Amino acid sequence: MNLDPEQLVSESGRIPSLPHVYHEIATAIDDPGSSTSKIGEVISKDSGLSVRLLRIANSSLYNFPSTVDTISQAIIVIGIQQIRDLALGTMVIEMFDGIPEDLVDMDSFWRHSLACGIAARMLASNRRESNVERFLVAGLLHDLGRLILYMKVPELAGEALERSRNEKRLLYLVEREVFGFDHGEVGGALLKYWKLPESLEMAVRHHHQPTKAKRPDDASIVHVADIITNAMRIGSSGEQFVPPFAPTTWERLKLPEDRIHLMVDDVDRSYQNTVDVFLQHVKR
Amino acid sequence: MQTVSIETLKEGATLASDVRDSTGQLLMPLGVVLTEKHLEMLQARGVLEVCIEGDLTQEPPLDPKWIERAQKELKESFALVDMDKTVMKVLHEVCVMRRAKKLAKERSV
Repeated sequence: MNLDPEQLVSESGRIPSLPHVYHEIATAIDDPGSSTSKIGEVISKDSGLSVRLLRIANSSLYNFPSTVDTISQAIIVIGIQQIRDLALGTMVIEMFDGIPEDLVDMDSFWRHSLACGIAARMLASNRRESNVERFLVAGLLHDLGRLILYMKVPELAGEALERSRNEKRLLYLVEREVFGFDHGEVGGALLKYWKLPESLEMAVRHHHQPTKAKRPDDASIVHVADIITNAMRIGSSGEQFVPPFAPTTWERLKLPEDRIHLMVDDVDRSYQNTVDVFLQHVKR
Repeated sequence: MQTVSIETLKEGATLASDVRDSTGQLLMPLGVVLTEKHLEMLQARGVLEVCIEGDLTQEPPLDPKWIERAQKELKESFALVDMDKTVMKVLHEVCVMRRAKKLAKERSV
């Protein structure tokens, strides 16, 4: 079987493309001459998106003391780059709404993805990284490749799921045997096809082998967040086992072990509210 | 007695000292058992923290049967990891306790 990730995501049919408004927002943000109100105007063209971003700005992720009720305010509270990342996150969830659920329970898939995003964001803020929202989005999108596999090659993807269950082996390792690559490669290829920032692509592509990434720290954060989420057993994208830490990934983050219980508590605390905000508009 | 922030304060707690505003005026005397109304009022007056009796940080001990059950439940999920690694051991322990607390809470409801 000759498959390659690039081909899987570029073949026409059923692979959603990013909404036009995302590129308009990205262009407006990249233009140094754009004001907050100009960017707000572009976002406001999409009323559904505006409502979702306002909900995020008013969520417990920010704990802003007063109500944020305009997009311009939301941009100020959340930050310009961050608004773009969050817009991307909510758009992608919507784009994959309604795909066949024979192989995956979409509610469970997004719960796993969101929890991983929250954990990645929290690890990043513990490390004092700038723009923690890009980690929320990297976590949210980290298993997107699995959705592509479930959609495009359902028989093989089903076989991989079954083998991982019967043989009690990690799904991403079985994927490498069945396809010649894992879902991380497919997700990376999709983000590249969508022309998203390389840093995001790399964090998703290498989340099972972070040291291969150009920026191993970013990929390590998603890697560790994925392990924490699997350990907390919040939703699933198909994997039923907690993956082991890849060598040197935990050490790379330079976080003390005794902070883990606080981080797990943090994920629990933000989880429900974030689910309400991000998953409210999709079919349940 | 301990000082807790207004966000973590729950109804049923007893004030261990008087609550005063920034001018020193008495808002609520010690000994008051807080109700939902009291909490709203404290929040409205901009009170950030109060002293209450007892120790909220001390949770009631967990029945070992819940810990055992949680360990059993998580065994399969953790089957493929390296438990000799400190960070994995800690993560496992935290997740077992988290699950055990949930099991105990579900039962008590």
